[in-house]
Amino acid sequence: MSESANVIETDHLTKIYGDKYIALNGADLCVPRGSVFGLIGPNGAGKTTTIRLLLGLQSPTAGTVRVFGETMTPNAVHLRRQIGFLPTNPRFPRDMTPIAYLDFVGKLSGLPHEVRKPRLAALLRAVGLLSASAQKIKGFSTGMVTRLGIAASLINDPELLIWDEPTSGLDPEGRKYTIDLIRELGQTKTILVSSHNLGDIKQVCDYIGILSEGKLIFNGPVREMTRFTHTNTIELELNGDIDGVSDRLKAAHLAVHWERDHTILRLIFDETGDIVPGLLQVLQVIADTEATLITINSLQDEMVDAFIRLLEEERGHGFSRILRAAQAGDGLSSPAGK
Amino acid sequence: MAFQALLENDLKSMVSSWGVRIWLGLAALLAIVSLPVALSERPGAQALAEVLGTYPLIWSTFAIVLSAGAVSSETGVVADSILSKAVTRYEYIVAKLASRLVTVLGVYLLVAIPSAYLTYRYGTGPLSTSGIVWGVLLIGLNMVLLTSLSVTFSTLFSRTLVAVMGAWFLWYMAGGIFAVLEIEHLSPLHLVENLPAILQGDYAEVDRWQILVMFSLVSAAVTGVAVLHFGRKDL
Repeated sequence: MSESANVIETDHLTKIYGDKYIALNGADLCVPRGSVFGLIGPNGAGKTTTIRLLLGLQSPTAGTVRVFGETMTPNAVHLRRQIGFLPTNPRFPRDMTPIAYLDFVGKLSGLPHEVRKPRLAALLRAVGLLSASAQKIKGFSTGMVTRLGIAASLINDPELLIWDEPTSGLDPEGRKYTIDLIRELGQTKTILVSSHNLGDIKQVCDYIGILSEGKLIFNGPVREMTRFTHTNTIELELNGDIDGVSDRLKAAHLAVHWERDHTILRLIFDETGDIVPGLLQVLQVIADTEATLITINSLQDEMVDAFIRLLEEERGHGFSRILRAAQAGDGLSSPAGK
Repeated sequence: MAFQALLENDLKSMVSSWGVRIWLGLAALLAIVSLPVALSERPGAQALAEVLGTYPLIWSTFAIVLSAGAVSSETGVVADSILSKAVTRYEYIVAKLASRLVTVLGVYLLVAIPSAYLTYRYGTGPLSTSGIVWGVLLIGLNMVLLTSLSVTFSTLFSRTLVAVMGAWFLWYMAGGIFAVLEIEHLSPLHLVENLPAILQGDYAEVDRWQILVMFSLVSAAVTGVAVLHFGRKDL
């Protein structure tokens, strides 16, 4: 297997189901070795389709999937042996016990008896299912099934973990457990984790890919997303003579744009400028009136804000993006960076 | 190792399946009740033909239900919990086919072999040893064809009910289809009708070989369709 810098690379990956539904459109995905990569997008954005293509469970309509530097196919057993997969809302053989299922998965992975048995016992203990090891899977709660899926994805000690919506359907405690586990496993493995909820996985990802309606609209380090954020916007919540503040701001020559929304004063600074002089001017105006400053907030969480902005831009300018790409001689390729 | 694990796992589920237990119980019960009576009233070839003939005509429904759900009943589970692991599509489908063949032939032979022995020992009238072997073999091959066909249907249709109904309809319409194609002697009904003659050793050798070769070829062909289709199917 190739020791390339990227564990997963896709090139113009496209999936169209039966000439009726475009699930994925020219995605150039890049997952660096050793990274925790978050594949984010709303429901129906194409996350699960992408994952199924990465695993060779489905064949691309166009484009290629390379995992560990080799092309993934339905029969690429040597590649899947290095992958641990956790499906969203996993479904397992209902009449098996966790021990029987993990033993079965261990056999499928080609693990010898002397490796398989101790490892499945350790994994059952690690995911907190030791006390339920004699129960049949059909009696398991959603959280227990997910934890069993996590154990199954780790039975072959894979280099790459692909977890599809691992926090789906879990209670807060289960979500925290899963996030902590991703953080821990991310120290030694490459992890691709998908979610429609950025809040769940933003704490643990160092790379991110954003899918919107089958299109990969961003692919890169988390820090690069900050350029899409509203870091230049501050909200002031006021009480008292807000009209007086508005009048004075209109009359003043300010180094900041502003808008009022009831009791909220939103200050929008230049992208490159220093916000301090403008902010001081506005605070001075407030101090000179009968108004009271209640709170100061930067606008929203940075990553969530960037995520929403990217989605809105993609939806609003999808056609112009295609034209820009075509003019750049790139056909209909993704603008997402590699 | 993956193939062996899949085969063992599926065989375990077959052995513990109530469908298999009920089928084996009913088939054995019918043979135990009807064979002694038939042997006392009719020639041995006729009596054994009545027992063996129940498989293509009656018990075929059990074989279809067991085999046509082999893949379709696992839709969802198969991709999530099996084929996302280090397993090829071929290993999976061949293991499924092998498991269902072992189950169907197991249920058949558990009844057919004792029935053939009892008929050989206590039956009256003309009966040849090679005829009994040919009779048991051809009905067995008929069940192999039925199982292969049903497993193939289970790869073609994601709904088990559709796969079962498709295989069932084709099986019981086979006589008419073969008649149109002028190969009527390959139909299950024709085989059952001629089973006494086969057991007596009176059936033309060339026809016996033709049936054997055709059953084998058609079984191989439908298995090939299943393997090729499932190998390229999106899961």
